[in-house]
Amino acid sequence: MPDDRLTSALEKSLRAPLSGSREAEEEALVAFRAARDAGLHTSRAPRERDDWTPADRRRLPRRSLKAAVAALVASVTLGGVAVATGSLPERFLEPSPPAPEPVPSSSAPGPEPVLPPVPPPVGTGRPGSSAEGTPVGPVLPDRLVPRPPVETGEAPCRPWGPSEEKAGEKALEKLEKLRKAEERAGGKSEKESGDKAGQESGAKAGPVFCREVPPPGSDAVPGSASGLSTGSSGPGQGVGGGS
Amino acid sequence: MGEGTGRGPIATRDPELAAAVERARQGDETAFAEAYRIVQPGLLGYLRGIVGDDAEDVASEAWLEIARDLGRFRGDGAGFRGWTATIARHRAMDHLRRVRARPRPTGIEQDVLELPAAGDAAGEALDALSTERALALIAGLPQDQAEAVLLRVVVGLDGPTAARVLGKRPGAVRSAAHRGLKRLARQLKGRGR
Repeated sequence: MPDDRLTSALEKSLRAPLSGSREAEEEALVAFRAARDAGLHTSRAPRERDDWTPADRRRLPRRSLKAAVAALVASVTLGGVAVATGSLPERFLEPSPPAPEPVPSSSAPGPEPVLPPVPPPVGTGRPGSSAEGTPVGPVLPDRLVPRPPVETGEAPCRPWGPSEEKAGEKALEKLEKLRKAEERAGGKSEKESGDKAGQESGAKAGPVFCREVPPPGSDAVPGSASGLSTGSSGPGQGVGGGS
Repeated sequence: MGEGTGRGPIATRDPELAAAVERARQGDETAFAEAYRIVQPGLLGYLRGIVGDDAEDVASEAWLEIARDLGRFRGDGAGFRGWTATIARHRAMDHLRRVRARPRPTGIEQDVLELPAAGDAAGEALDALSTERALALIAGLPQDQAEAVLLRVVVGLDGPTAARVLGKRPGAVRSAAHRGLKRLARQLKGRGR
């Protein structure tokens, strides 16, 4: 028995007499009107299960929409990260200057009579340190003894105050030049130039800021830039910390 | 049944159906009525095959949902038949869950099954195939075969669309429809002898 005859017979026998009543059609129309007048036909977003467009036409646009959304999300995310890290390079620029280099303990013996461990490390001992850091000598000891992290040494002098930005940039440029010069000069002079750089940075970059920002009373001595870093940590930190 | 059931006489009205659905989505009530008249016979035949005499009630529930969600539908004429069949099937399954039993052929239908065919030739048996007898034969099939046959023959869906309605792979649905039709043919032949 041919399948076609069977299917057409089934189709004929099952479909023809089952078109339904007139009342059923009217009921469907009433539901249609109600939904249309309530705005349901325009306000409701299509769902996956309502999409019966042929598969070949359906997939492409949907993928591209997904891709567009993914790209948007990714760009917002990456943009956020970029903005968040925007300030980092400037921080990274600062510690990189040669200031840390002179720290190596080999150059420590050179410097002045040790003002023994007294000088409080870094910026922790706020009050006392500014008083004791004032002596002219302690410039190096201050740096060397507690092996102060450069950050704390420089933070107070970091020219990020609202008005010192230009001065800070200049100082950074100079530091950068010095660092390059050191690299060119080679290993031997590294320590010395490092020291010099440290001093110069202290003398030029530091003071520019330190002279102006912190209360001049405590750290007036120009040469003691780095020393001031700990010494001036009181006022300086306020600024540096604020940045 | 050829593989192209979906391209049979039912499918020839798909362009007309697609246009009616599109106009109905814009709010044209007459177009909605037109779509209803095109779709309803197949839908009702399908529902008769799975819920029996409750088919009209279930179809009414389905049309309420169709009328409500029409704005969400995307697709062409064949897609609309698939979409409406899916809605109808969900309503039918809910109904069956409520009833807790698959509709059994009524006494009359059983009688129809037992009746000898009008003539010896299978062709004659087919020509004389009444609605009651066709429904009784369908009801005697396993449910997966019955649904596959109904969706492909009565609703006029192609293989992939029927598979989507049933939530199965197209191959499984094709196979179920094929086995169901073979079985029906065997029964009709048997009656014919």
